[in-house]
Amino acid sequence: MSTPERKCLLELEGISKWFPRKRTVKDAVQHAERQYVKAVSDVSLQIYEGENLGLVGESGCGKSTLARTIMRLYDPTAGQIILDGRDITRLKGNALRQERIKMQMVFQDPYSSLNPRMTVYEMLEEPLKVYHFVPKDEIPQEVDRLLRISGLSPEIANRFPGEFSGGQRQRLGIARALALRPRFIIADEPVSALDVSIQAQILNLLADLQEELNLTVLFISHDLQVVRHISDRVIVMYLGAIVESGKTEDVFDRPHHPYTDVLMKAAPSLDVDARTKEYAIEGDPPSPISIPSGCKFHPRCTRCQERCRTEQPALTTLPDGRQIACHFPLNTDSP
Amino acid sequence: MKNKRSRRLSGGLKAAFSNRSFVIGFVITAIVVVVALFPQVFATHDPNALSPTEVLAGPSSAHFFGTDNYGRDVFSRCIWATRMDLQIGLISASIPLVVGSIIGLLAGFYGGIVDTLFMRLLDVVMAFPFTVLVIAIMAILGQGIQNMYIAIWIIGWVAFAKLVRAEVLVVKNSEYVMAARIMGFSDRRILLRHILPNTISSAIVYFTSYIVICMLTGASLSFLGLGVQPPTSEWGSLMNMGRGYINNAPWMTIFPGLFLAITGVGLSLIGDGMTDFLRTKGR
Repeated sequence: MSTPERKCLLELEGISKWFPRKRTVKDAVQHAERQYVKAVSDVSLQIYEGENLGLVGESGCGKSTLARTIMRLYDPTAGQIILDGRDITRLKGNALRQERIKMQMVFQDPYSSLNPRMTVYEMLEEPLKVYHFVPKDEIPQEVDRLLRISGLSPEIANRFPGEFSGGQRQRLGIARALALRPRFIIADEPVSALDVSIQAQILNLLADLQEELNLTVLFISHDLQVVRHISDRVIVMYLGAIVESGKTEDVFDRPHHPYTDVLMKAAPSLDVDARTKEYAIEGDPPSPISIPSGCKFHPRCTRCQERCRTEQPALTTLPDGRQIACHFPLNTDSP
Repeated sequence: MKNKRSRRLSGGLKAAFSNRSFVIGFVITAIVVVVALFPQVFATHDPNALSPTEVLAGPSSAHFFGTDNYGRDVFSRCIWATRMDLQIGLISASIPLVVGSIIGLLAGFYGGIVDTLFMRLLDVVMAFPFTVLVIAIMAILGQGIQNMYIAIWIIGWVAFAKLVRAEVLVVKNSEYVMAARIMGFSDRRILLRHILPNTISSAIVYFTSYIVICMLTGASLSFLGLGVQPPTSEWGSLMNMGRGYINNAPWMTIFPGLFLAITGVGLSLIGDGMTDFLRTKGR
């Protein structure tokens, strides 16, 4: 792998998450087969200690479902989740609780991710109290510390979330995620609901915290520029599966998968001359209920050939450690 | 800790008392409650004292609202009835608020077969008009005030369960509840600390108007002779008594009706005001 010397903190083995569709009376009468929304299919990946792994893809490609499955908010349909050497896929109750607090999440919408009826202090005090994380008389100092490292003033502790701006709320979300001193943080589109000027502040905060607290971060985003800025490695998802992964600069400079290529070119650029229409991706992604045969991307691919329609390309690891699922990759020496 | 709680309380009260409908409703209701607590202070006569010489006398300085067919003072009877009616409203509305909210909370949160069963049961109950169903149950249980409470309780939880469940379905998928789950909090903690405070406001607002509905139902049942039995004064039964004399002694009917209407307006205004400030707070 790209960083073999580092310890693997989280490993996913063939994770799938399918949501059954509700059967209608018509389905039952016709004995139709049960249909599934295949949000995530057969995803395997490793996240190494201390790294920032970017996960990119269009809306609806299963990024958030994958994040929630890792957090065990959803039970995976298939596959294994190995956290710090321990399989947590089937853990329940207290055992799950004890493992899961090593992971925390920062949410996309800072307006719906904070309980509107709890003050900042109550919100940060709660996990500390439940887990007896610090002695009772030290809780106020700990809350102060959490607010400070998130770039907030401890004086705001008695206010309600409704009194803050989006950026401040996202800082509160980060402070809450840090309360249980997790080793691994999933940031699910943490800046996409914020103004551009605030985005940079929150990104820098995340990067600083990652370094100071030696956190491992899975950074989910559809904004390629943001991922390029913050991530060490990047994984590209399409329709619930990984199509490409590798070091950020490699993937951005020499994308192998045609989907990654059009994704990069579809991203808005400030350079007027570089803007081009010819690579703009066409059509909508297919429905995750009826996934195309062969390569999932073939109906929208400019390089599509007969083989792509019938044979699903496996995710293969190249000699340089990059992974790619395509029969006819771009920018490679070997075919 | 104490300081924080009082800060929250004073913040809430400030929001409440800057709302005009709430203030007007609060003043009316406060007067009604004072009357109910100390009727002897306001009543000019013994509500049950008969006075055969003054039968069906019109309003005068001696009898503000006139007298009834036994010569009893209508004003004093209305005053004493306040206690009875407020008691009916509170007792019959509070049990459904508590029971209905708990059922709605659990059904919405856990879902599944229990939820389905409760919701179908609820559909059946809701298909009938409220008063008709209460009367039907009282036909089985028999007349009297205790049976009236039981009848209203059996039906009343339904509306609260439905209201709270609908809100729980929204809130339980919100990101802050997800965050609480990730933190590994117990279901009990998530329900009580994260879901309940964010779902109960519409039930509490409905509670204020439900008190009025219960008082009206109580009055209707007394009017029909099923609820409060004479000679206990209750606005509905007072109006029922006055019905026979509506042409020559309309005061027997009008004044109890006015008391009922004013109390209803007061409680409804509180509810209206609460809708405004509970819904907007913290969002």
